[in-house]
Amino acid sequence: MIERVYLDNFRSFVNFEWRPGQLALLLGPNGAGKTALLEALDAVQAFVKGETSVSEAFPASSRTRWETRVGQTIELDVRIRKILYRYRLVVTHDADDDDDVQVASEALQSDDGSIVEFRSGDLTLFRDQKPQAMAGAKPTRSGVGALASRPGDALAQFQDWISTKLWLIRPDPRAMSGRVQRRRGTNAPWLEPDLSNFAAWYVPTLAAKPGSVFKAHAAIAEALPGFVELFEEDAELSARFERDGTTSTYRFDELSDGERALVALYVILHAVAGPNKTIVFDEPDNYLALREIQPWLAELADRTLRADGPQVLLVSHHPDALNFLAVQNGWRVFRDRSGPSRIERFQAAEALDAAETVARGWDEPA
Amino acid sequence: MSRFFVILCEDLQASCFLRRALIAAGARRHDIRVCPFPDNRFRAQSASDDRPVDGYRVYACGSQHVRENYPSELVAIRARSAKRDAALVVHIDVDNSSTSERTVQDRQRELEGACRARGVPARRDSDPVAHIVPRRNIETWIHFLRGNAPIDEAVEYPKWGGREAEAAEAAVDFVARSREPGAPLGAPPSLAMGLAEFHRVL
Repeated sequence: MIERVYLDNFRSFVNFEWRPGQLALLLGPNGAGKTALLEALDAVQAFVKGETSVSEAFPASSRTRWETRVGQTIELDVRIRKILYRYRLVVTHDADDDDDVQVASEALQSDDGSIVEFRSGDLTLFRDQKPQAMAGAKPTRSGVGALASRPGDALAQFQDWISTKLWLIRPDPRAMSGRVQRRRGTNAPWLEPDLSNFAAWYVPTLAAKPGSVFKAHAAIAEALPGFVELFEEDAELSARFERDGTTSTYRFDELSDGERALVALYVILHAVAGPNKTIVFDEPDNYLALREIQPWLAELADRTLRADGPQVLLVSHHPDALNFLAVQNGWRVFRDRSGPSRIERFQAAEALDAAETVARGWDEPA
Repeated sequence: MSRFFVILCEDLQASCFLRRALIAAGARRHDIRVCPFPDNRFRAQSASDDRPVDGYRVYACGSQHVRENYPSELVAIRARSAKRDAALVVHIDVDNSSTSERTVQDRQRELEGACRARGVPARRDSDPVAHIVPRRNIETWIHFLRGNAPIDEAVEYPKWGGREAEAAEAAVDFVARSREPGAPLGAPPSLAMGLAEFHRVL
């Protein structure tokens, strides 16, 4: 679970700190920084997983426009199985060369002390709290992600969390293909945030977690009358419906945008939203019908508001999402006259519900 | 069960509890609609029975919200249930009172008074409407249903902030007990009344 995010000189964030709880709804006007905050998590994840270099994860354009400082700082405090891990990355840019981006320092610590430290070009791994100098460090790649860990050790815990427990979901049903592309092995591919590879992810997920996926099918059937199942046929994902004893099969890409989004969101809810996960949804309700939103949110809250529930961070503008979640779990992201992004607990106006408060702009600080 | 349920309640804990109870009773998840509930964390200092929560001052606006919206929801459910199967589940905590010991009946009378003020006929026996009125509040019932006895309705028991869904699992037991004759042994009196009320809409 993410306990703290700190961003400095990243997009609209200057000396910005946020401590989300187990369930957080981010709301606020366009341009306030809600999605940018999630993109910071996306950038850190891709960088530590080794999918991107530091210049790809934190290009010059990611610096705060009005800042002249060349250093960016990203900190992430994550609690994994009761132990707090502190990840800190300082990126430095060449003021005259946008392509020259380097890691100034990168450190991972836990309650027990340092785990990995990269500073001044030297990479150190702490095993049993004893420093070991590691060769081959690059100031363009994550040392935390690249170092070999031992099964179960502190470094492995953090690497596993950031690689497999942090999920970013930004549904774009128009990008969702029904094509099931085969991969070697049986593991599901990483689900792309826009869900473009949902079909390829779904098939091995069904094989690995049939119970969870069948529960998703039951939930989908309540929202889409007649829905029976999603299945693979000839490398295509298809949906089976039954009405009045007649079975109809549709290719996944023949479903409407809203139906594809709804199906994917329920499958994610049932197959992914479990203990130790942090799931970040960016406007998941964009394609859903009004009638479909609250039941999905209620299921989401039902899974989250428990001691062993996942952490869910959600961005939404939808009135139903605001009314359902903002009162007790809302965070307002805002900027004063295009200044830096700030965040505070949402507070509805007296005698108004959350959505009406936001619609009137009466959620602004006193 | 294909009945559509509307929940009018004070807060997230009550919505989790009642939604879970309806699902346990056989309602479809997509046939449950929770009305927006108010932000009860106003910093207002005027209320006499306010108390600090999360650094905010709280006053009993949850019950005010329910009273204000109850008449129109009652009208809506009457109109709907005349055509399709639909029911209204209303939750209002008894809470405490700065002047005297408030009762379940006091809250029932407040709901009737809210209808009278709006020219809406009060709830009839034939209306598919349940008044869920826990004393002191929904947490009192949850503590009892989770096996914590004896329960004192005058005591304020801890809330499950951030674990509302986990606490709401007690609603499964609530539904099971609503199907049994008589009040459960040691149940707080308001829970016994609540079980009968819940049975009205099943």
